[in-house]
Amino acid sequence: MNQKARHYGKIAYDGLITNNATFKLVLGTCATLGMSTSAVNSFGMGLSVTVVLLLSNVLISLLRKIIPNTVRIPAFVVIIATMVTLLRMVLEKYIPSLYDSMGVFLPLIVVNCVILGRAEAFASKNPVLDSAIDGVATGLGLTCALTLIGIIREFFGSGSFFGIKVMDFSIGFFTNSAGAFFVYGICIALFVLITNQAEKASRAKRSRALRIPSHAEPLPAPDAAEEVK
Amino acid sequence: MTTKEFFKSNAFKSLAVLIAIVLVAGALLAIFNDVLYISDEERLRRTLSAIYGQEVTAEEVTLSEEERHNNYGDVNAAYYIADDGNYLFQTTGGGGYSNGSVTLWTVIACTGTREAGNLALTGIDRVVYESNSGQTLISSLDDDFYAFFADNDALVSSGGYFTAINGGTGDLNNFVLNATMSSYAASNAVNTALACFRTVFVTADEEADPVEEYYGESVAYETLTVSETDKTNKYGTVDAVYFVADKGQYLFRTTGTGGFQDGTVTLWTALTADTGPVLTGIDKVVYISNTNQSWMDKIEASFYDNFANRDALVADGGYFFADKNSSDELNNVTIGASRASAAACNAVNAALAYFRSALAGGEA
Amino acid sequence: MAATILLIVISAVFSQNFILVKFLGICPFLGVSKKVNSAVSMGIAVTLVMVLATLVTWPLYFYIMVPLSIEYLEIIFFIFVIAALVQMLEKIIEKLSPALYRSMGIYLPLITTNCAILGVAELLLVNDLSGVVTGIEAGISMNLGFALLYALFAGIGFTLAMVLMGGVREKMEKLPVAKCMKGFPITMVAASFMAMAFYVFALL
Repeated sequence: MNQKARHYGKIAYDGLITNNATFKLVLGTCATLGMSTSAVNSFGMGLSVTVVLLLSNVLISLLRKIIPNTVRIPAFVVIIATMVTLLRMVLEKYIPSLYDSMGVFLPLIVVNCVILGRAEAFASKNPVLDSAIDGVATGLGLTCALTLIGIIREFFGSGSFFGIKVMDFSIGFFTNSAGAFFVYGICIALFVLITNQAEKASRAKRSRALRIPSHAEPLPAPDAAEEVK
Repeated sequence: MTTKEFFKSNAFKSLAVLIAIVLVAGALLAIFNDVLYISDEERLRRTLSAIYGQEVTAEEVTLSEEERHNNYGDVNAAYYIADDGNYLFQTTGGGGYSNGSVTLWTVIACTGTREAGNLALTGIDRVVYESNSGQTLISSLDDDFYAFFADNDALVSSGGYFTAINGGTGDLNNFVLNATMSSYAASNAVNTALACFRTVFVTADEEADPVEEYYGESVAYETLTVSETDKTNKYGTVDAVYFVADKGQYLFRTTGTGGFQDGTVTLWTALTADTGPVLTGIDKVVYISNTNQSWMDKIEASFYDNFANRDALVADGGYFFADKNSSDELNNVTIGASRASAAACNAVNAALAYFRSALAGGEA
Repeated sequence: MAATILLIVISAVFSQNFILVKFLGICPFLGVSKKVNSAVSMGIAVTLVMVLATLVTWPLYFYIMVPLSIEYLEIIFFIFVIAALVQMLEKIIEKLSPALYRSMGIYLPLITTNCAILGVAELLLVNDLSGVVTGIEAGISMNLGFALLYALFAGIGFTLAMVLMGGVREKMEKLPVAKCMKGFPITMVAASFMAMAFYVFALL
């Protein structure tokens, strides 16, 4: 049981942090750049991708033994396209404001490399529950990253936070395309910096943990016979 | 390969699975498309609640092809909002940058109902931007610009139209610097709604007795048929002529041409006459409306009084003119609004010319 | 007419540049722009597929899907058309010119999941030209000719951005850059400066 929990935890941690689609793998960049003008938009986009990821991962995992290897890519694409079309219908019906602001980026979720990538690399080889967790974790990792970029661009671009005006200033640079590239680039750099530091710290800790007992218990004297050898 | 082998082959299996997936996907989407179908009413309801900020019940008002177009632009749709009794117009005003246009939603506030025939325009409730064509600077039109339309109810209810002229001083002049063309198209869109409402919806007002309104009292009068041949003369057109026997006056409603930007000025002109009838002078000139005359409000009451103080010359057959360099008795001009003055003079002249050609009974 | 064509060209290449303004096709922009040569090959391949895809999807949508009112199947149909086209093109190029296949063919499979292709097919589904071309007067109805022209020049704009980026990155390779800025981050910042330059066209 404990081992199982650790197994699922690892899948989730990989999807969220170690293989973060936006900052680490730099996939699905079009949607990240295009939809991050405001925090609400990027949050909506992130959730939409998460929903499609979850559904397509589950379906592909269920069908993984039925779909022949030769036609797997077209089959995956059809499944993803169906999920995106469904999402599009639901959004148009129930959240028209998000539907309008997503524009052409909504159908383009189909060609978001993250989704096909997870289908190919994970869902087509793993059981349903694992695939579902992977889908949600990857999606949430992407959502967090997108929302972060959205918050930064919205704050500097129009002085507001999730649509609420907090400061009376606006820097046009952040709302247009140049600002999108700039903020995204800086965010990746910071993510790399932080994860590298964290890794270094944990490595140092591990090696310290190995060294301490060696000080407490002096090493056994080398065997004379071995030395001769 | 036999048929049997083919059905067992990998290629067949692959194809069958792919086709099955596509069919299932198509069927699924077809079902959901039906379930999640958004009707036209639903779309309209969404648009309206976006404009109003709340759910409203609206019914479309059908307009004839002719009623959809006026001098300012085109009416795309008109709705009666049952909740507050107002009317909502979607109109497109032309004359923008690079021949483009601006489409706006205009909520016209009014009292009374169309059925009862007592509908009266009280102002503009709000103006909401819808779309544009070719207006690259449309984003310069800020909230203040749109709010202006709703903040001038007194002038709007008394029959005014908006203008967008850089440097114009009219009370209804509304423009954003650097985006005057787009401002002009937007003003035209609002004016389209106003004009449509005034001409198509408010029929009751037209029915009101104009002569009574002019004199401020009930008088006996006779509506004269405007002769088709003399209706239009070189000064303008005669819209209506009334003969008020008690006062010995002929009341004209005339529109004078030659104003600023080919615009016009419409006036009441009351001509006094002795039996014959022989023209003896002008009793009073009253302003009604104008088109495109942004400096109309520079013209003061004394300008109109001038017409009534030249009776001898008028009786002699003179016509007014507006020339800022002339000191002639019949010259009547307001400096800074000479084109509008010219159109006003022409309106009076149109009445004089009509009287002289169609009414005057031979030699005095 | 000439003015319309000029506006389409300017809009597709500069003011609405697919990569730098519309953010379509960023993956190949980041992945295949390390060298000018590969950037050119990728750009040409994308342009070719863009035009071919438009040639099929535009009539498919307006002459078949709309009359049958099955517009909701648009995404599936389009992605299928694009995938099939790419596959066919790959085979044809392999047969006709092995040399060309070696320089360009390897990028073709990547194109199926390139948003620029599906993006152009989706963007062109408008009835009025002013829906895709900025600064043009309304009332010019869309037709296949305009759609193809737009697709062609959108592809050229894509290639232009790729080539410029390839040149910048070739130079950047030799620059000392902070460790955390290496790779994607510094490329993004360079793209940001290029986007600023292209933004000026949108102001015209």
